[in-house]
Amino acid sequence: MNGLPMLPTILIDIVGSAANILFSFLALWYAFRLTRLKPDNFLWGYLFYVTLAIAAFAISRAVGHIAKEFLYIAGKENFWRVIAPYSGGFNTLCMISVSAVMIFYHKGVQAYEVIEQEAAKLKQSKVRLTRAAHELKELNLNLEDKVEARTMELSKSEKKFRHLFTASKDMVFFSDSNQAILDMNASGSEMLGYSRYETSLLTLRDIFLHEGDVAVYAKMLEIDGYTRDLEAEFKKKDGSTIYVLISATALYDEQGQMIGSEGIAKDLTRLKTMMEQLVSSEKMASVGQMAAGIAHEINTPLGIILGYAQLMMDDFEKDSETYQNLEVIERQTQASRKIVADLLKYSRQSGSARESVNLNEIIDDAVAIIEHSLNLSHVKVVLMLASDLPPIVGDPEKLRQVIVNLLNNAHHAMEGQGGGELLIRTRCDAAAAKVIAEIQDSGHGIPESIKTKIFDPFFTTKPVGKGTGLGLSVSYGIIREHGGTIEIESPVLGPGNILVPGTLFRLILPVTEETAAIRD
Amino acid sequence: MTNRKSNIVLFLLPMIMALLSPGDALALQVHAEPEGVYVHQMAHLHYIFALGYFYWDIRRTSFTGRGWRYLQLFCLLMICWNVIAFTGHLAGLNLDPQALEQTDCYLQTRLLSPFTINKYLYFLTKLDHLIYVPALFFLFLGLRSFYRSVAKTTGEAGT
Repeated sequence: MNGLPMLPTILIDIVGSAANILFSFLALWYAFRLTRLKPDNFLWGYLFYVTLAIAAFAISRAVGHIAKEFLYIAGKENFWRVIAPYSGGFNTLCMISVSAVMIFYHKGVQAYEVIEQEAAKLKQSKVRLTRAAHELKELNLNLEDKVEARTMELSKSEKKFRHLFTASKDMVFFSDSNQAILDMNASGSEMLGYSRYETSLLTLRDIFLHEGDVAVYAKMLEIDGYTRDLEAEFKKKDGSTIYVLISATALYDEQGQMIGSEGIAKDLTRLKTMMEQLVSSEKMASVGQMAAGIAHEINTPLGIILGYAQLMMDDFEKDSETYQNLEVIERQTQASRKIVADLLKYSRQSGSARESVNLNEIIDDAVAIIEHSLNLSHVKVVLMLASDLPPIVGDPEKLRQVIVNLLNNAHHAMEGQGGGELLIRTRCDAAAAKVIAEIQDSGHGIPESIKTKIFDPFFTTKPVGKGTGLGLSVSYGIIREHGGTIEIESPVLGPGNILVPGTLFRLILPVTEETAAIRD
Repeated sequence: MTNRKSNIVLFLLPMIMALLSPGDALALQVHAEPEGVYVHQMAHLHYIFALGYFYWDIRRTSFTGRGWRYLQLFCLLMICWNVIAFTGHLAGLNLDPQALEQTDCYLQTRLLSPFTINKYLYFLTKLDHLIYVPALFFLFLGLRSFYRSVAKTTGEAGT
């Protein structure tokens, strides 16, 4: 009988069905592992469900086919006819499911793409944010370093300038636009005699002695923005004055408005005094030279006049008018010669003895000479002489003359006010090898304006005929000749730094090795 | 009126009208015998459409890599298989039961002559596993390829 055997189709059906189960399950296995690897990935999740549906379809079909073939082989066609509709129905259902799942792929992928795009954007944003955060962090770190470095620089700078401010021996001050002092260093406060707190309450008007100087200072700052080497006088708390040299700069705010000033004031009082003394010294020297020249020139004709006058006196009777006139000539000529002798002493042109002298003894002698007249004027003499005073080298006569001159001056100063106290002290400054004698009266004192003139020759405040104006200048010359100095205080700085009226002359004489040699 | 409200009205209107003027109600439809075969055939067509759509979508999305190529092959082979199966079912329906003769046992079943196109189609489409198995094999290769590439990127060893 002709016909095609169906055995190959039966065998392929059985083997193929088994292969279907195998491959569909292998595919499902890898799909499952994919979802385990990437649980959040939509695509792999979707493929897992597609593969699951395909596997279900493959099983339903393969199991049905295998069951059919084996039931037919076993001759159980009737049983197969019973289950065939279930197998076929299930198979159709699985096929429709696979189709449905596949159709959703498109929308799923679209959603996936959108999600991926959003995720990519988010990822990019995250990357940008991370980068920005990193940059910000680095910036922050750098900023911290920069701030730290800058703070250290500022701290160093602040320390440096603070040290300059506090350690400066000159006055450093800051003032506001109303000239109120905002800050002043310790040297400034000390210079003015105020406490730090007191200086904070002051204005520039309080410390400038002259109102006009404040105006000049303010005007210069306003016009030039600075002032350089402005000479002014400051008023101290105790009323005394100091000479200062001010350099200041105006301070401005951000709008360019002047908000105050910062200044440095250098105390030139000592320098000024020294300069004045130097000028005075130079003046004394030149006056001395002139006086010496004049004295020499006048001394000779005076000697001749005196000689001739005395010769002529021998030719006339003592009772005669001519004799009496010649006596007047002789007396006045001798007075003139005394003045000339004083001038020579002042100019150190006269001869001097050099011997060991105890200043205490000189003072005792001088006091003894004028004590009577002092008592008459109700002047109390207080002697405070150092017992261990070393001797000095000098001319005792000239030194005595100096002491007498100073005592006379003190006497005259107190005479007008009906008495007073004359304090005479001596002491030794061993470190400086000086002997110091101080003669202090309680008189009216010496006005500031004439302090620099009192040692000038022929300068006197006494009425005409009462003094020659040579006493102090001669004393000055003698002390200078002895290598010493004369200082003057008026008013006098008493105990507790209180100023008391009166005048103090301080003689400072050196104790030289020569002194020791002469003493030995 | 918004689209949503219009849709609701259009959906509810026939129901309301049916409730207001009911006719003879045929509550249950009778499913006659050939319905199962038709449904199955329609499922095959549906499956072809789904596979074609899936194939087109894979190409559209431009996913690259070996796994996606295997998946495309799977789609093409499965489309072929569906066509074969659809044809086979039609051939089976048109086959005269007398054309198959079973002598001693089922395994000795023969397709009797004279041979027509329908008989040849019936015989050839019975060998559909020759397409179906390779299709599933490519599905397996595709999934394995995906897994290996992902495992490689994540550092997990592939098998």
